[in-house]
Amino acid sequence: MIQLEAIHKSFGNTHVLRGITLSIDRGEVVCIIGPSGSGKSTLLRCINYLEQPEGGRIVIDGQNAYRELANGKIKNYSARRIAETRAKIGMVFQQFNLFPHLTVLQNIMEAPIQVKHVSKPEAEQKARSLLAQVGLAEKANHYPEELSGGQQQRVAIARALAMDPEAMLFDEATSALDPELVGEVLEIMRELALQGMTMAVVTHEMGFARQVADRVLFMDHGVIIEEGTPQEIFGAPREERTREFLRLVQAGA
Amino acid sequence: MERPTLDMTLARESLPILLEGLKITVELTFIVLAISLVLGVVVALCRLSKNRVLSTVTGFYVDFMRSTPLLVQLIYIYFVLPTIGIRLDPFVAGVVGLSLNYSAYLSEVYRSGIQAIPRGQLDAAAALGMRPSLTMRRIVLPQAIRIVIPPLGNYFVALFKDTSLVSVLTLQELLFSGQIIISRTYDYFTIYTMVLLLYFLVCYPSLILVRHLEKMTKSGYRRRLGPESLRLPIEPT
Repeated sequence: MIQLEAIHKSFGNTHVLRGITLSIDRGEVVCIIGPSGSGKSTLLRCINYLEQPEGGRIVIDGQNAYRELANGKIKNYSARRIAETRAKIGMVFQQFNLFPHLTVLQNIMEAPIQVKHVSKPEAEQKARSLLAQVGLAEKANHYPEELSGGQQQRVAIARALAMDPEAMLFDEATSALDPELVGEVLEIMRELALQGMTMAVVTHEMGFARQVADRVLFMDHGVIIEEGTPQEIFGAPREERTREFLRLVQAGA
Repeated sequence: MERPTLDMTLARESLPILLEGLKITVELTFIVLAISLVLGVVVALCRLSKNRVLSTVTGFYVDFMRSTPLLVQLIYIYFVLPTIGIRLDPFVAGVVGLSLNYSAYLSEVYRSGIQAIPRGQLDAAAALGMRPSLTMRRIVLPQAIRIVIPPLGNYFVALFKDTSLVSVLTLQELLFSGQIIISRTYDYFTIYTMVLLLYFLVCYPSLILVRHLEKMTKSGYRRRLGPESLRLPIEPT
């Protein structure tokens, strides 16, 4: 469903992504692990074009997404077309990024109404059922800052799901949470995976990756070092760098 | 030299004339404020636009207004423009001059308010498929307005006082009304004291109000507890 080919991205002189090629099938859950600064988040942000890679191709649903190559030059599609593609892919951020001036319910209804032109009653009904799904039905009229981090992140997941996305991107969705709040968010992510959602998950939660992922990618210094099933990556990593990373992470856990 | 004293009879006689002037001052303030509040947003959006020409031109306009004195701008509009055939009456010249000046300053307030919205808000909106114009209208501006309310309040008070500069265009606002009385009576002490007090009586409560707004906007977004929060969900249809 999502294909990346030879993605390169630099920030100033730092070459963050050095030729990433990756394919995610429909219904697949791919976890991306690796040390901080390895380019995992940047890679995820390239998938919905929040970062624009200097080189490479992004294909979504079999079509060139966001831009095309014309006469050797990269030409961005129109803002409208880019937005339409983004609307098909939900994203959950480390810092939640809920809209603070809107209530929980309004946060969830905003994009369906404004982007997909869903009627207000229909959007509200859907928002309430999603809120119930993430266990926050009674918080509909609260503002984000009245909620705990875990609750905010669950609202953010509901907000993304309200657009009926074909795939979901999770960018360290639990990294900003207090330890006791991590579980409630992972639980919802696990349910989503069970329902067959296509997911790309950047995470430091090795337990989650091991249990939920269909495939695990280990990234370091802007390249994919190794990929395989959770059993392969966690059970018998082939690369020395993967082994070392897992050793460090598991020593801390 | 004899000590100055307030001439109460003169004060009583002059008050209606000064209040008439104050009315002009208030009118001028609100008309200029209304224009500048709107024009300021337009200028700010132009400056932040990706269109190079638009952002450069508006950027220069803002810098030009900030690099020349308001008093000279007003004099220029009223006394120099007629030489190229643009003749404005004092009130209109005052509105034009003050609006051009305040739109430039207010645009800077708006711009800093818009730029204060965290990057994550833009990312979240973009990821939901919102286009930049929609994001600006629904996500950025509503939050930015809250940030800019206190500085806008301060500019409102500053504008009220700056309207006194229009007296040099012979507009009979508060200050010039006082000067007219003085040209007849030569009682600087009584009249200017009254003028000063009248400005103070309007500005001081405004300042207190602005301070109150500042506190309110800092308190974050929360439910108003009351009937609103008890509102029932809409009936399923």
